[in-house]
Amino acid sequence: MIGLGWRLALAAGQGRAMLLAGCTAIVCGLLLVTQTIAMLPQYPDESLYSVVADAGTRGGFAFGAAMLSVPALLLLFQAVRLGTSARERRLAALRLAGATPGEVRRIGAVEVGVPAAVGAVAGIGVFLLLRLFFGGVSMRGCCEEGVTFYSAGVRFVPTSVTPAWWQFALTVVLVAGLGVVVGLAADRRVVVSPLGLTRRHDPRPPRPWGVVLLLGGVMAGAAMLVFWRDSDVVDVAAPLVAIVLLVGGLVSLAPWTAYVIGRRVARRARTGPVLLAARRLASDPRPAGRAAAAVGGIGLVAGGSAAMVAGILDDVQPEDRGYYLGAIGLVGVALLISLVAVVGSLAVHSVESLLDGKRSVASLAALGGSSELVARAQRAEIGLVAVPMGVGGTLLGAVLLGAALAGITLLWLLATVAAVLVMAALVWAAIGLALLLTGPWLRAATDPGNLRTA
Amino acid sequence: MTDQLISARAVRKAYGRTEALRGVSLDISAGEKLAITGPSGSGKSTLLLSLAGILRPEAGEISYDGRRLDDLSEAERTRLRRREFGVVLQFGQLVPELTAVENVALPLMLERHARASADRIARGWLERLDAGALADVVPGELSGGEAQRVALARALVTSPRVIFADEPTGALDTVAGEQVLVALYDAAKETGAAIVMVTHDNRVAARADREVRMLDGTIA
Repeated sequence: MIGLGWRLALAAGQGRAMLLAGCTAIVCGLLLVTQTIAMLPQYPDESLYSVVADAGTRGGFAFGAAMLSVPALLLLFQAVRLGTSARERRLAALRLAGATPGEVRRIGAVEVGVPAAVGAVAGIGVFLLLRLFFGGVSMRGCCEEGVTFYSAGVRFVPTSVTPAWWQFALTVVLVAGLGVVVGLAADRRVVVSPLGLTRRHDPRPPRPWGVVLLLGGVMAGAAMLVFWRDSDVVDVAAPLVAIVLLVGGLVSLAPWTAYVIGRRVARRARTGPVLLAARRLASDPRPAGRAAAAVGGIGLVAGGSAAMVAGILDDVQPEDRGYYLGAIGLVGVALLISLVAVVGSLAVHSVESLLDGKRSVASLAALGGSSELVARAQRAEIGLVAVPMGVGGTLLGAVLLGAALAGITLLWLLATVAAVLVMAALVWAAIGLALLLTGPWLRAATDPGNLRTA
Repeated sequence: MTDQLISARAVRKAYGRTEALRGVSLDISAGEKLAITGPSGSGKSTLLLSLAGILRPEAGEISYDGRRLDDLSEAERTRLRRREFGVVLQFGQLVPELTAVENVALPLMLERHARASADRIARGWLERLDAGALADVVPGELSGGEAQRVALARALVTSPRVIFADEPTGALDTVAGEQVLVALYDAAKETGAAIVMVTHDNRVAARADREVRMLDGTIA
């Protein structure tokens, strides 16, 4: 079974397998970095980047590193669906050859599990590389105990502590398992019969359950800050719990956002591409919603960071600002890295929607719809979800995180407006980049010659 | 039947090592109803798609209204198809997410008609093809015959000079197929459009002004 699954994983294309492996490698590497930071003693005998070196802010950094795996996992979810059309034919052929539905499901799991496991093991390499390039510098024996050493460069991976072998093994197994679970989740509505494959379309429109998480995030954060403000632990934990709930809420609200926007825009669309995009969103909002889900979370952190910058500029002495602004700069870098994962998710979604609708895209081309028209429809479909998610997340972050922690001032207003504009521009650029990556598939899909074969 | 509208000369088209068209020459007049028949794999659909400017032949010439199609860029051929041709395929190939009226209005919207006006014209065509009640239904909920009538309305909505139809009744039962054919011929008669239709069905071919039989990539 594993041998067959492995051959099918190769048949699915090296690109897909590498993308799956790449995602789990990044997740595994990030989790190992998180664990290593968590293992540091209060005063480590190595010089590290200030935010990691300081025991008070270290937890927040580790949390941020772990949160970076969310976009990678969302990209993994999308990558599983890459090449779905060819995969569907293979699985149907297996059923025709006599494989039971259970066997086909297991083969499908192996098809995802093998690259996910390979990637998880490669994650150890990612961790070692990060440690090589961004590792702390040993200060053992140079000074007395109880001194915090700050490095000049961005050295955020501790080298004085290393996870035990079982922690490495557990992380690899956990991440590989997570990859399989995500893969199975992506296929949970698929029914493979010997005559082909059908996707059980969920006829129910998505519900805005994410609002519950958002409210939970606000209330949990507020309650903890009001009632346990004096506790050092709660003071750090409250914003982190609130961020997890708010990011979770925004991610789960994305399909509902896609559905609502799709329905509303479809009624008012004035051009063909926008009409096509809006109807696609309204009829099947989940794939586009999932592809753009991480944008809301990125916006949330960006908005919060922008408001924090305003607070720092308002309250902190100029000579002390560098410490805080440097840390926020690092958050900005992390957000840009997350945005790269989002570009991947958007590109995979775009390719899959083209391949899924190959026949209707080809007939559109036969009617006189150019590849530019289809590209505009693709851009509108993604943009209609991603831009509002990004802008909404940024506003939410600025109001909830920023204002609660830094206060509402004129500078806050300016920072929020700037963050919204930058986020909208970045999301639009990410969409453009994703479509640039999908150009070859787009041109192939709009080749009217597909009418013979699609 | 005097004005020559489409002219093909020594057209050749291959898919890999398989030659689908081996030097086909053919003239089609304005308003003519032409049936292209022949066994499977004889090159019927390839000829139709080449005449419609959808496929580009490797050799030979295809002219429409005096203009060489092979000299036109992809964008120019796309615009030509949008304005002058209507295309109906075997399974309709409607855009699944759009309602029937939106599918029909789409070619007009691509030509930058206002949405309201495009919808009005589209509804008019659906009414004329006895499909007015289906306007707000999505393709997944239409029967094969209903979907073909909607596809026909979509092909006719820009008042094309030529309607290319590839087995438009091939997936329909006899009654539904007859309804679609009657609708197609009535609409073409009303607008003066030529019809170029690929079919396996002798009864369908018998309705045409002329029948061209394909065999192994040539006109038999």
